Amino acid sequence: MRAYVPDYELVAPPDLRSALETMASEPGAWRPIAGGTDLMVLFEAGRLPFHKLLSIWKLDELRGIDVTPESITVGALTSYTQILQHAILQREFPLLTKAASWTGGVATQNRGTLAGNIANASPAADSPPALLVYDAQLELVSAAGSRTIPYNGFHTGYKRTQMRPDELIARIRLPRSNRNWHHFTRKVGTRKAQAISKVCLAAVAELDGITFKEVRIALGSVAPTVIRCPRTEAFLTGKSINNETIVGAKETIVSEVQPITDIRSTADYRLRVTANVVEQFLLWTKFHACCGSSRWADAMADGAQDPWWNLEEKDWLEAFASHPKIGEKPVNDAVATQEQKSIGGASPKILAALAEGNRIYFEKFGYIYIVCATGKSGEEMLATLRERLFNDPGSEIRIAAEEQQKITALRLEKFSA
Amino acid sequence: MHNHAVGTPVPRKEGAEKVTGRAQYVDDLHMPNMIHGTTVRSQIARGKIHNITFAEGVPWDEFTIVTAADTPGKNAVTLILDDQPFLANGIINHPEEPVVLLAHPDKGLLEKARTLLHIDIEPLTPIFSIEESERREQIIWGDDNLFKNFLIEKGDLDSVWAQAAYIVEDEYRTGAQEQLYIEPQGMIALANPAEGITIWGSMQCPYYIQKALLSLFPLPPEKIRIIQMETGGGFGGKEEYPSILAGHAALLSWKSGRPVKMIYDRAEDMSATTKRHPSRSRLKTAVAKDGKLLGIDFQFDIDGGAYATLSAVVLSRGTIHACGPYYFPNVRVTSRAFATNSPPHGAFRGFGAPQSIFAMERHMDKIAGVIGITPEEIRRRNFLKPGQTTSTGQTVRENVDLNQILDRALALSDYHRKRAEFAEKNKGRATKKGIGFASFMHGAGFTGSGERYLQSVVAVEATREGRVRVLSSSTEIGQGTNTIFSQIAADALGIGYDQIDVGRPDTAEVPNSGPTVASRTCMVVGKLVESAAIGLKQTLVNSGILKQEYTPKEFRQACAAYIDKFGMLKSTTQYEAPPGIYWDDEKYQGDAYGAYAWAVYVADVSVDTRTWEVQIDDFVALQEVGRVIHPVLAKGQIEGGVAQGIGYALYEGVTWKDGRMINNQMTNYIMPTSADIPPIRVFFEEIPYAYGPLGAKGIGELPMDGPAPAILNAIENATGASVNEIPLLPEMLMELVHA
Amino acid sequence: MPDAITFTVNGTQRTINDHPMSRLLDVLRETLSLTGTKEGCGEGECGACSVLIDGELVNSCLVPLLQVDGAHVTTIEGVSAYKIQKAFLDEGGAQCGICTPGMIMATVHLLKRNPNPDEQQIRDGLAGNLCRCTGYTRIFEAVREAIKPR
Repeated sequence: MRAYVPDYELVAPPDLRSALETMASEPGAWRPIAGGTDLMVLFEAGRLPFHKLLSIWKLDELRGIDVTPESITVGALTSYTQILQHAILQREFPLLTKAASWTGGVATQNRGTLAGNIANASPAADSPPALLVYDAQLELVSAAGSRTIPYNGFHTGYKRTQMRPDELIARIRLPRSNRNWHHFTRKVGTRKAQAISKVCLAAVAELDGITFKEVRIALGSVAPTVIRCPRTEAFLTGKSINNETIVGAKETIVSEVQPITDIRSTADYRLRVTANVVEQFLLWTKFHACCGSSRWADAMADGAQDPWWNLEEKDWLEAFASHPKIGEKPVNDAVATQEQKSIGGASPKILAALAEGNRIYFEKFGYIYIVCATGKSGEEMLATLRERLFNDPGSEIRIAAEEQQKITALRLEKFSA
Repeated sequence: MHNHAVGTPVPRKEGAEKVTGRAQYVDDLHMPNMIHGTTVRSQIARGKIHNITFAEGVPWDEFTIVTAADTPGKNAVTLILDDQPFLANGIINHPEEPVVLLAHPDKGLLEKARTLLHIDIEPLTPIFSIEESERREQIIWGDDNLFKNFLIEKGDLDSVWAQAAYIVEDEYRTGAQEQLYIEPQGMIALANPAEGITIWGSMQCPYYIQKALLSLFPLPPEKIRIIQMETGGGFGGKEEYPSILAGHAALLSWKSGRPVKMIYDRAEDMSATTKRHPSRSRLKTAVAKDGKLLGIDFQFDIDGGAYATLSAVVLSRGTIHACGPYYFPNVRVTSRAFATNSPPHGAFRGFGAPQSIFAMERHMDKIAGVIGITPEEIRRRNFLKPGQTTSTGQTVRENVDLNQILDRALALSDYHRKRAEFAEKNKGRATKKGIGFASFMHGAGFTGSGERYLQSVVAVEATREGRVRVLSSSTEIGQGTNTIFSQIAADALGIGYDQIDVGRPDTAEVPNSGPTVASRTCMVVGKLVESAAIGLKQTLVNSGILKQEYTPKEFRQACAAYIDKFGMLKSTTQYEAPPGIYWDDEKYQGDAYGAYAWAVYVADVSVDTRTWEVQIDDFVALQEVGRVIHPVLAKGQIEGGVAQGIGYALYEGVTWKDGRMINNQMTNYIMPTSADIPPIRVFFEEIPYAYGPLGAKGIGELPMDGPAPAILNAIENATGASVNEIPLLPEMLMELVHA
Repeated sequence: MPDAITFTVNGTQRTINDHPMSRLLDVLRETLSLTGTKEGCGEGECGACSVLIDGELVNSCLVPLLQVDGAHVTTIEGVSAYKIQKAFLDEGGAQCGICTPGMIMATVHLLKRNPNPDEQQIRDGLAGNLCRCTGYTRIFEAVREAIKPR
């Protein structure tokens, strides 16, 4: 413990307003401290340059996760634990909840805060790449008022931000959408837990088949700040995922990063791994467009031949859940629309029976009715559904898995053409 | 003799204290009037001290200040060569070398003072590698930078090269490794000329500390009392280093007149204390057409750092273990321990053997590849058989069947099926799988005449209530000393495990049973415990107070009767070398160890060729250990050793800059977490060793030898990349594959 | 001089006048003489200093005293963990014992959040607690033993 405690001053303002007033009264003199998982480490190493600390830990105005149809707003002091446990964040912003689960261990996750991760401004922080691809916005507050700025651009240089000395991050806003995003992230660290990243990639992609409609890629630990990759994003937009695209994307991403050699890794390693992880992202996304099981896509991207039957039931269920119900109009899913087009001519009576059948099926088995729709009429699919309703759960899930495999195979074939 | 405790998973003797947080480690102890101490160290590797200045900022007159000038006796740490000073005396030979000691009641102010004390050093040219040291452009130690060298010869090596069908040559390197016990080093000293010295601390060898303080202070041994507190891990890192810390705390106490507590923080502990010796091995092997090994030329060199410490003994063990469990008719092992300007390296579990065994086991796979046979086959054709001799000419006398041990390990790990499956499944995959193994042996106890020289003593004493106390200087550092001694004594006496107490290692209370090192605690000292207990029983029986066959209740009654009559019931035993062990220190030949444990470890790995990260998916550790005294403790030893071996192989790299360890924080020195460790499956075989307690051999260090070569052999199987250096970080693997 | 800080430790309310920036670890060990919580690294990596604050596992070496004002702190001395402690004893989960208090606190916390964790959840739940002696295997056994119904 290399700090001389009496040299420091730590006070806890009773509320946000007095905190901001204190900061405004002596701009730059007071450093806010939340959970302490970064600042206390520096303090104990004798390397904390700030001697006046303002504890904002108890300011509940800065806590809470607020959900509206348009966005999820995360309070600055939301801990990693609170983030990774939040059901809607898990579903709609999985890269953020994954990043939260990768940060330190449980004890760090209970004390570390999202705003702390942002304000500490390390290019190796775990949450920022996810925030960048989710187009997060920051609400900054001061005694003078508040302003909302995009997170992209917040970091202006190594450990430098756009924040004024009298400002605090109050909230992080994540815009929601009902677009069909594929979410991919990989952190390459020194070990599996409690590791500072050497390369960290977060990406989201919206596809038409396997052609990119929109893609957002962010990287950590390969530049003085976390970065989006506009050149690579532009390169990929409108392109199909194939070998040529992959080669081009790898070349482009390498031109956007400036990795260094430091105590954790080498520039050369970071460069190669960045390119390799981008390739992995592209392959994974292509396969994920064929089948909604993340682990199946992982295995296929790895080069596996036919991993479907080596997966667990939970992986199959994940794949099933990515489909719209048979007979329901798929939303934002051109591929499913195409696959179900043979239903197109079905009568309203058949469609209603299918909807009812779907409901009963879901009630019995807990997942939606999966059938390879290509070339089948509404009546055929309804008949099959009614037959399969009599199956026991153990047999039925295998049948559903077989149907999923057929769907996957058709998609793979179609996308390879 | 009843056999109830040995072999059964009795509860750890001091376990209840540990799981409730009541166990007392040195930093948990407070004394009235106690002050804190700290060390001011050199920031550069080599130079002449010109000046010490005390900058303004703290009230210096409140501090106790100690330099080399304040040493009452000899400023040299007694160990082997006594070349290391407690405090630098004008000359700096390594970064972090201690120069000034400070003490003050306020721990925070003390740290501030440490940063305000400046040592002015005129730099000299330092050297940091074995290569630089052997070039001898800079002489930094003795006449030739050489702490020690050995030569082992057998047969006529020079004659085999001409006959060899294959000559396989390569070089292997291992890096430094930090012991990383979770409890940092710490001592409390109360020292004054009138009453003498008492030390409480985290340590493995109380009598080593006593010996070291004997020449530092003008006091007789009875006035230097060393008491071991509960110790949070040692692994060799608390074998010799604690003597220095104890000396420092004692010097501050001597000068201040108050008890002084010195606890290292993690950064200081990592950068200033000892580490595993880095090594370089150059092997050249002559192999016959049928795969039989004809001869080996093994050059084994280690980097000892700035002072000799235990380098001679580390070198010795590495030298003797170099040739592995194979029969070589012709051998030359030349080994050297070099001086460099790094902080001195020291004991760490395995003690030279992990280094040379790494080279040998990688080399065996290499030989197999060159001559076109499998790694398995090359071993089978060359395993030592009973009746054959090792590199030092020791005849294998026990009925060990290494082929059978290999069979079993390969079956347990599903080796053949996996090897075939991986070869098929790896095609086109980014993640490649591989499986590899290492076969090895580890000698327990001190080498050759070492045990005889130690003359270890153990006492066993009974109370009126019939409780029996084991008195030895062997320390509990997590490995289970207290528990196994209690088991052994209980069974030898035919009484309950709960009737046994183990006395705290306090030099005022226990005899010198030798250090807690070298995997000797169970095999050598445990045997003495057994003998002393039997001696106690015999005393009672011979006195007529106790019958030959008795119940525990009768035993208790007999203790009371005996003590009432004679005043005390105590039995003391001293080590006697087993018969038939001959060792020639001059020629370095003969029976190096009383017993070897034999092992085969198998590692199943995945290598992600996108990031070059290696994950171990399954690990099988099979070893023959004589007798398993405590099944849970024995498994725990192997599992813990394997985890350290995995760290040695894949994660734990020391980053050096100008001789200093700069990744001296737990965030940057990477130890495996619970998320990184594979399932470790441990299995035992038992060929009882006649001179171990109930047949037991030593196992503490054995598990350190196997994991690194097994893992690298597996990585080669997975990727084709033949790596000769550890730690193998992903950056290095990537570079090698892309080179 | 800043105001005293009042918090509950193992069910007992304490008022502490130490500097607000004092590490909770030091307040526990030095001021309150609760030495069961250990310092292994002083950088939040090893978990030997783990305690519960309002039921949440934290590294006490990273918590400044000021921030526990009004909180409930539980240390190894006050935690109710008999079944876990017994399992650690039976399965060899403690060797040198220095990581053990923190490891037990982390296990208490894990099982409170998830009374029936699978293998991966056990590993993840304990990933912030380093053990150099056991290689973790016996610790996992201990946790598996502790979650078995009596």
